[in-house]
Parts: sequence; C-alpha cells; structure tokens
Amino acid sequence: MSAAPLPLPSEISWDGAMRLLEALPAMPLAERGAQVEMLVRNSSPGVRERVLRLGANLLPEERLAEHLRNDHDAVLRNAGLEMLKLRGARSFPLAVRLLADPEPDVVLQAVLLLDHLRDPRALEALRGVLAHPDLNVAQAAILAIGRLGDARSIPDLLPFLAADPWLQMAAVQALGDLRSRRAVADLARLLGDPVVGAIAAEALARIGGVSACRALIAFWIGQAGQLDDAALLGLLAHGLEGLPRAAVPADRPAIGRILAALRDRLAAAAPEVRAAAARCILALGPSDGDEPALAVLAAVAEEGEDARLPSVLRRRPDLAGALLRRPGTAAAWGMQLAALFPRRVAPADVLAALGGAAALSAAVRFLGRVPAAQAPAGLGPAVLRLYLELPAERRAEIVPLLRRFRVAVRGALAAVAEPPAAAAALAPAPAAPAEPVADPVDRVVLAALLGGTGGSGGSPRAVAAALERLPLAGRLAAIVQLAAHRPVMRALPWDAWLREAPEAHAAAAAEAAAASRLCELLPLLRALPPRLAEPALLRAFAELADGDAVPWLLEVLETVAVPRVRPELRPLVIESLGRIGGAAARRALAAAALDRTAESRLAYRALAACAEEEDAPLFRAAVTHSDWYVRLACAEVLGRFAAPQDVPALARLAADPVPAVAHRALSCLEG
Amino acid sequence: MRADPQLTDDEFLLLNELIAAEIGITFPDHKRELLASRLRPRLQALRLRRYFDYYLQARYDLAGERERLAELVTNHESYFFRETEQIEALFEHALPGLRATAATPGMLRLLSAGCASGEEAYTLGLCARRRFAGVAGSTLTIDAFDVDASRVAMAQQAVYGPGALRATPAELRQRYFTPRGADRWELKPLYRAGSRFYRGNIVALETFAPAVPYDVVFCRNVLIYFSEAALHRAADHFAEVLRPGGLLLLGACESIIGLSHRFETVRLGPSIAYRRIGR
Repeated sequence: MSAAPLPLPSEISWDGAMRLLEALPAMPLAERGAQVEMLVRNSSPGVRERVLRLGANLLPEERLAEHLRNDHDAVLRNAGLEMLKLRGARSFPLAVRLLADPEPDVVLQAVLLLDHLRDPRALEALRGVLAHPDLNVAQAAILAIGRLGDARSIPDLLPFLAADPWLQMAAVQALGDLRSRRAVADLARLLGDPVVGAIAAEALARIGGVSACRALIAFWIGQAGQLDDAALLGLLAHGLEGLPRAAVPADRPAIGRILAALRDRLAAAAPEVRAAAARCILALGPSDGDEPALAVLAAVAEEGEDARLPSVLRRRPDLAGALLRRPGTAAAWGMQLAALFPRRVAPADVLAALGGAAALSAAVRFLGRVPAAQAPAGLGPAVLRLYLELPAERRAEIVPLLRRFRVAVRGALAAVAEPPAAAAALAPAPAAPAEPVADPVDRVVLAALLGGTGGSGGSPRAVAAALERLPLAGRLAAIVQLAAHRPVMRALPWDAWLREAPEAHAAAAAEAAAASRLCELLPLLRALPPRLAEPALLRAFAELADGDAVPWLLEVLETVAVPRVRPELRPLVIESLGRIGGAAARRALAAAALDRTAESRLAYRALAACAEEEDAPLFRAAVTHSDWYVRLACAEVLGRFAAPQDVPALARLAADPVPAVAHRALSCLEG
Repeated sequence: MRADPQLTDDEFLLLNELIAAEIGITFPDHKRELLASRLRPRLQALRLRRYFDYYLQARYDLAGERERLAELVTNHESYFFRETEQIEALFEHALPGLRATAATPGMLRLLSAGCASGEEAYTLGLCARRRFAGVAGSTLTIDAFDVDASRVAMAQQAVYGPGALRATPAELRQRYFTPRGADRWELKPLYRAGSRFYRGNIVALETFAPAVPYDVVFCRNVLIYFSEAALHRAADHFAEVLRPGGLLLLGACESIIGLSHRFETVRLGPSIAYRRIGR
C-alpha cells in the first residue's frame, strides 16, 4: 500500500471564505473588488461560483478586459472570462471590440465569449476571424458560428470540410449543429475517416432526414462488424425516429436486408446495442421484427427501471394493443400510447390492463376521452375496483372517471359487497380477496362523488345525512375525502358539531372551509378557543384571508405558540398573519422579525407579503442581514415601493452573493 | 379538483436549503422538477396547497415530517455486487495491515454509510466470506445506516427484486438467496449474520458515532448528491468515526481531496482510498 499525502492548501479556509462572502454586501465597493480577486483563487467550486457572480456585477468592464489580457495569471484571466459571461448581453460590445486585438489569446477569449452569448449579431464579426492565422481562433469561430444556428453561414463553413483536420473537425460539428442538408453528401464521404468519421456520423444524425439516414444505413451495412455498434446504431435510431412516418424508406427488399441485420443485433451482448437495434426496427414501420424488438426494448427498460414511453413508440400507435397485452413496463407504455392515440385502441384492451396503478394517469387520460354513452361493458366495475384498491391519497386522480361514467359505476357499486362484520373480520382472512369491498365510508364518499338521480341517495342532503350517521372516525375520514365537495360540506351541521365536540371537528371544519371556500364557517372557527389551534385551522384563516381572525391568531401567538406549550405552531401563525395582513398583523410581524429567534426570517418574509410603505425602514435596516432569506425579503419590499432613497440599498442587494437575492434586486432596479 | 401546486423559486431555494442542512443532499437547478415531482404526492396526501406549507411542515418537523422528507428525496439506486473491484482491492491489499492495527484486536469493524436497502453492506459481507480464509481469527462486523427509515426496514427484511440482483450471477443468486414468490429473493439468514442496520444521517454525527471507532468506512455514490457544505461535514464526520489508519472508500467519481486535512490518499491496487491520519 503506497501513500501519497494530500498537499496542504495555502488559501483561506472554506469556512472563512463563506464568512467573507456573507460579509461582502456590507463592504465598501473598493474593498469588495480586492476581495473578489482574492476569492476567485479559492479551490471550492461553491465559493468560486458565488464570487464570480458577485464580481460580474461589481467590477468595471475595463478591469475585466485587463484580466483577459493578463497572460501571467491564468486564474484571473479565466475568472475575467467567466465574469464577462455572467454579465450576459452587456459584454457583447466589448467582445466584438476584442476580436481586433493583436494578441491571438485575447481574440480567442473574445470568440469564446461570443460563443457563450449566442447573440445573432455576432455572425458578421465571427465571419471576420474565420481566416485568422491562429488555428485555435479559427476553430473556435467555426464552432461558435455553428451554434448561432444561422443557415446563411453554411457556405462559409463548407470549404473547411477539406481543410486542416483541426478545422475539419470543427466544421463537421458546426454543420451538424446547423442541420445543413447541403452538407450531407460531404459528411457521408467522411464517415470512414478514422479522425472525423465518428463526428460526421453524429452530425448526420443531428441533421436527420431521409438522405442522412440512408447514408448512415449504407455505411453501417457496409462496415458491419468493424464499428462501435452501440454508437452508430444509437445515432441511426435517433435519425429514423426523427423521420416523418411517410418518409421511411419503402424499398422493401432493401428494408428486408436492413431488418435482418438489425435482428441479429437484438441478441448482442451489450444492452445499448440491443435497445438501439430494437428502436431502429420499430422506427422502420410494421414488420415481423416488431414482437422481438418490443420484447428487447421492454427488457432493457426494466433493467434500468425506466417506464417512460420511448420516442419510437410514439410513431407506432398500431402497437398499443400488443403492448397492453404484455406485462409490466410494456403495459405501462401501452397505456401511455392509448392515452395519446385514443382512437387507435380498443377500450376493452385498456380495461384488461387497468389492474395496476402504475400507468394510472395515462389510463385516466385515455378513458377520459371515451364518450360516456359508449362506455364499454365492464368499465364500471373496473373503474370502481381501481378506486377502491388505490390508497386514499391517490383516489382523487380517478374522480373525473367516476363522474364521467357515473351510471356504470353506480351499478357496479350496488353489486359490491360490504366488508365482513366485526366478528367475522376476526376470522382468518383469505390471502387476497377476489373482489373489492366498499365499507360505509367508501359508500358515502362514492355517493357524493357519483351524485344523485332524481332524489336518490346521492343528493348533498342525503349524503350529509349518511355522513352524520357514520361513527366519528369514519365521519372524519369521509370529510377529508369530500372537503372540496362544497354542496355536501355546506349541508353538514358544523354548528352543532363544533359546539358539542370542538376538539374532534375543528380540523375537519377548517379543512372543509379552506377546500370549499366556505366563508360562513369562519365565525364558528374563530369562536373556538385558541388552545385548539392547529395547522389546518391556521391555514384556513390564511387561505380565506380572514381579517377578523387576526386577534385570534395574535392570541395564539402569545399564549399557545410559545415554549412549553405548542412552539411548533409559531411559524404557521406568523405565515398566516402575513397572508392576511393589516395593521395589527404587521405590528406583530415586525416585532417577531426583530426578536432574533429561529422564526425571525419567516416573520420578515410574512411581513414582506403584506408590507406597506411605512414598513420600509425595517427592511432598509436589514439589507446587510446575514440571512439571505431576509435579504430576499428586503429586495422584494424595497423594490416594490421603489423610493429614490432605496436605490443604493437595492444596488447593494444587486451585488449580493446569493443569486436569487441579486436577481430580485436587479429586476427591481431594471423594472 | 385543484390544480397541482407549482414550486416557486423561493420555495425551491428554501427546500433545497433545508434538505442540504438536514440530509446533505442538494438539488441543482436542472433537477428542480425532480424535487417538485417527488414532493407533490406528499403535498396531496397532507392536503397542502403550497410547497411553502410543506417547507414549514418539514422545517419544523410537524408530525415527524423530517423523516418522510428523507424518504422522498434520497436516491435508492443500489444493487448487489456493484463495483466490487474496490471491495476486492480492500481485502486483497489492505486487510492484513488493517487487521494488525485494528481498533479492537481480533475484530474488524466496517461501516456502510448511506446504505439504502443494504445491498452494499451485504455485498461486503459476501465478499468478505470469500476472502476471509486469509484473515481467519478476526471477527467481522458490518454496521450500516441510511437516512431513509423505510430503506433501513427493507435492508433488515433482506428481500430483493430483480433490479437489486441485476449484477448477481445466477450461480451466486442460487447460493446466497431463497426465492420468495415472483421476482423476489431473500438473502439467506446465514449471510445476514454480522450486519446491523439502523437509521442514521451522514450530516448528523450523533446518529452514527460508535463507541469504538471503525476500521473501514464505505460511502459510495452518496456524496455526489451532497451540497458543498454537507461534503465538508461528511468528511469531518468520517474522520471522527474512523480510527487513525482506518480507510474511507468512496465511489469512483467521488473525492474528498481539499475537503479535509485529516485524510491522505492511498492506492489500493486499482482503487483509491482515503486513510485517516493520526491525531
């Protein structure tokens, strides 16, 4: 075992750098500049990223240009380029000027900067350096032009395909970036080139289209066995998947040879090769290779536990039925395909595959497009079964289906059994019940969701009455699921419940008030003793912006949300006060902001949400606060009122080391 | 039905700050939607309408939400016999030296930090069995922890699906596992002996600091998800729980170079390890 001790770093420690960064916003400008130039040498990527952002906003442009010319200090030079990049469009004029610099390294930095900026105006300037005697400059200019994406530059780049290999590689890549169909024949000739062949293949795949795909196929067939199959087949699949379906080559004898070669690759050892071959086969259209290709594609996806629908299958709605009949990932793909192409799939196929919840959202989308009058036989029981088997928190996802096919589901519900009675339930249960059961809570919830027909048990009053008859635990469970069902919630006897058993019903009432926007419940909730405060109640007052609840919330803040009682409620009360606002709430929040507890930052934020101009001094005094979240609130409030005396504070915040703070302040200054 | 809540910029920053501080993991900008989609079902289950409400729920640990948050944001990707070259290199090149200087004579103590469902910890035990003839006379104990309590429970049950066994040759699958229904295999009790799983958090030393230090710590493919601040804390914590001369093994693309003065790099055959420098 050999040992190689690490070098001891001579730089400022990470903790020291972080402290310095936190202190930077409060430093005089000149001192900040010197600290920035020191901190860019820090080896920590996090420190460097933050200080570069700061320097980009802080250092003058001439200083940054000097850094670019500094060939004795590579760190400062690179930092100068990074900071100019971070300045964005403001750096464009400087970059164009620097293209005329006598020093090739400076010109190179200017090209790299223009490449980063991607400003369309850069095209003319970059054309001017294509013939630069320094190969690095010319190469960077070719690549930058390619990435500008302006097809007018194609004639400028084509001659480089026969140039120095260094420039040739750049031109191949750039023409690929430009999707230049005119370059396909030239690029095809380069496929066999040991230096640029692989890049040419990539470029052809990016260009796409029939001619590029033909070139890749011809090369692959001709060179089979001597190439990196995974890369080339992957590129070919990419190209074929991008073809319009009508453009897939229809020359059957030729296709037959290609398919045969591709089928050989379905048995390759490398999964990448198998998957790419399968994609190519499927992209070429219906053939007897579809089944084995699907099997391979699904197996490879299952190894990687990836259930996303592959692009190639979006081209093949004809395969939806076959996929739905397969297990696992393939069925999930089939469901997604069915949702995309509902007319190409028989509802019965979807119903047969509906058992698993994995592709639930796709199934809901698909079935959501089936007209209710054309509900296939078996749909009601299938949807009901799915609903009953889902965990409660996911049931809301299929409520639209329940409503769409309410008649079929109602019929199915009538046929579903009640759960066994308590005594019978103690007996050993079978391993897996063959049929789902609907307990009384399920039935009440379903009655509400399915609605009534001409005075049946599904009317809001009937549901409310059924809900009242449920035992307390069941009643609360049903209310949670129906909280957003306004007619039923309005029909419930909240007054009596909150008077007789406030502890049991407070949270449910709050949930119903917020979800159904039942403002008439607010007086009842405000009449509850503050000791019953809990998260749902605090959120309900906030969501309904109940100004009359502020005294109640303040009492909670002073008597309940305190140490040794329920301190965990304090942040929620603060947040609710901020969402409601008003003079009393703002006074309490200002006090909470200054009390230097853990919730102080939340109080600043809450106050920012409802602040008025007279609160600005508190935020003005906090622009150098050590907590970025407080500074963010400062930027928001000072920017909102935009008083002239706040411009220096906003300028300071615009140079904040935390990007979110700087961006917020900058947008206020610029807006 | 209400529209799905959207994760705002501020909420993303706050949640990221909380997750980095509590669990160490960070979600860069391009993984913002990933974070949103992982938390969305939980918001629905709690009937919360804003991510900020969920932030408060987790930040103040209302109803024990911190533990659920850990389950939602951690990456569970792991499988048996993953990157075994490094494990083999440990037994091949370092074990004799470690054994000679073990914290407890006659015992080698290994820790798998961020163990997910236990695949790595059990793989360590299985590889040790094949190698242990060379170091007979030592007892091997493997402690393993993860911040996700549900994964720890799975590790204790030791029942796995095909994903976890994708790099396990059929012959080894037959030898070490018992089939349990369709596509499920249980590690035989014999091969679970000596491994202990518990809930712990790499960025909270008190959750995994042992009474007796470890000889080797494995923490592979975990730190890549960590924020920089959390990396510093993790390196410090590993230095705390390792004895002087003990080894820290990280994933192939992970490094603590520049993060701690308490380690030196050493070569173990084809692999790199970090050796705890003496106090």
